[in-house]
Amino acid sequence: MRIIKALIKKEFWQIVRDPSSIMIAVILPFILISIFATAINLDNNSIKTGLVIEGNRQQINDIIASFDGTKYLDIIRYNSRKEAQRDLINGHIRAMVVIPNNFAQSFMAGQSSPIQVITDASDPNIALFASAYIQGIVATAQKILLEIYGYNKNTGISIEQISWYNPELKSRYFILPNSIAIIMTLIGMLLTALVIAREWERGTMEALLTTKASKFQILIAKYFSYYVLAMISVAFCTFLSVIVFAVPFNGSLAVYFVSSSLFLFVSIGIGLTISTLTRNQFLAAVTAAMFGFLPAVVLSGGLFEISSMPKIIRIFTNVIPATHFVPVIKNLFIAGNIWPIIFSESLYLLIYGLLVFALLYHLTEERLER
Amino acid sequence: MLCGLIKPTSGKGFILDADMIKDPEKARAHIGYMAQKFSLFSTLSVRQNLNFFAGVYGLKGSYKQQRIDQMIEVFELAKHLNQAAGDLPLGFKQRLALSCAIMHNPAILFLDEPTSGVDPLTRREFWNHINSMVDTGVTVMVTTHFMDEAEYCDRIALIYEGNAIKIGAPDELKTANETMEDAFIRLIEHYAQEKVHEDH
Repeated sequence: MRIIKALIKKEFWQIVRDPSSIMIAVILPFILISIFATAINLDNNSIKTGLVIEGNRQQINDIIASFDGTKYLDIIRYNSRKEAQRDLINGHIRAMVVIPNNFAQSFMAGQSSPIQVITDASDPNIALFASAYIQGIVATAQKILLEIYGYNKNTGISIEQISWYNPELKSRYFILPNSIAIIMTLIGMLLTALVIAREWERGTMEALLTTKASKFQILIAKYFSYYVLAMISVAFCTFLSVIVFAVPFNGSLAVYFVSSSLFLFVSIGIGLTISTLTRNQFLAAVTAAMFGFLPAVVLSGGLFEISSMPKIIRIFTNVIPATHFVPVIKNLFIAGNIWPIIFSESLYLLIYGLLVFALLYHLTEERLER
Repeated sequence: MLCGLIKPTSGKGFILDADMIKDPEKARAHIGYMAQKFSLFSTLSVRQNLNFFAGVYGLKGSYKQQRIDQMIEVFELAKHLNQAAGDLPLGFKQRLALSCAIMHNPAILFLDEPTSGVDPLTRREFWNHINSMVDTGVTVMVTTHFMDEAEYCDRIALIYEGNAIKIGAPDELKTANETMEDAFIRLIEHYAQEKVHEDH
């Protein structure tokens, strides 16, 4: 009994003296609970929606007011259908509503009057939410209008619903490309997190550093080998998705290759940095899983929409490389080459990757002194 | 620091003609280093380890193959070539580590406690290898806490509290009837006393 007591005492001393175990025991649960409590919110509260009014505003003020008054949609006004469509393609808005030129006329004439709703169904969840909210708003507006203008059995608003990119609203179409991004993170970050730590643990890093090999060469060798490994798995996953699960691939393979490479450049760099910092395989694996892999699943916008997360978390999502890869890979599969997204995200990843590499190189240098 | 792992904070260091500070990579090319801990890739086979180290030392082509073959012959590794380095008997691990460290014909070889935890027979054999290397003109630096081993060396530096308190040939360090161990204790006690003296 006394021995057990001594052992327990010793364990607690160790925990108190080791900041990393406190991190894992206290700070990590805190972060995770915060994420789960706030970020995973499938009830989308403010889907950016474009509103285009082509005709006279006066007579349909009530409809406009209903749209403006909703807290479920974030309404952005457009002067022309063209502008709204451009933003829908770029992903700035997720849905658009067009009230056509002759709407008021036809409604007052007691006819069935169409409103057009276009949703970006590359994320079927969001598309369904958006169209459901829009239907609700239109139904309310219709009730008000009918009270004002009187009843007629033909009178009413009909919604003409169009889904872009994923007309069948198959969630597989958007989940699989995201899974590829997540698998790439797994290999690029989790696996590489182990490799430098392993070298330090076994003492082989010292042996390596006394040879002719420079730090730069050692790092490049690690980057490259895991890059190749990850690319093989990308090719395999893509093959499975496209051939076996029949997910359409609409973009260009060259763009896919380049953007995947950039994404891996960042992920591998982060994995190796974790490895260099921890110098311990177990700690490295846990760190990579918690700070690399899990956020990539939850916060990259792959499975859960970033726009429905609280602002602080939205800002934080930028740190996760997958956040800047998911939009590209999603569009490549579902929509095709959308150049503004490809350029801006690729540039972001490139700069991010270079910064990580610089940090890693610096750390490798510094770590030797200890 | 001697192996170029750590940058010196001040002073100068040369290995042959290579400046350790300005051109550490060139300096390292003249060094062989065998760590105290077994530091080869234990999951790789003996042949893979030899190949890898030959590669990182910048050997290539037929010369590379020639060196590898030499190592296999000198250290009698032929039987174990395809075995994982981690599964080798200790004696063979040592031989493999040594062969990887001298693959590139270094002018200086650093051995960090190469014989700690090694049985006497392997130790004897190991020193035979070291001596034969010295005969070919290689400078070998060994750290050890076995005083009988220290006696095999041409020059000994006695390190105490981070300072080299005495440097010289074994016979210079010990008096007529002393063993190396006695000399070691005497020198350290003498140094410690002097230091106390200075402090007052």
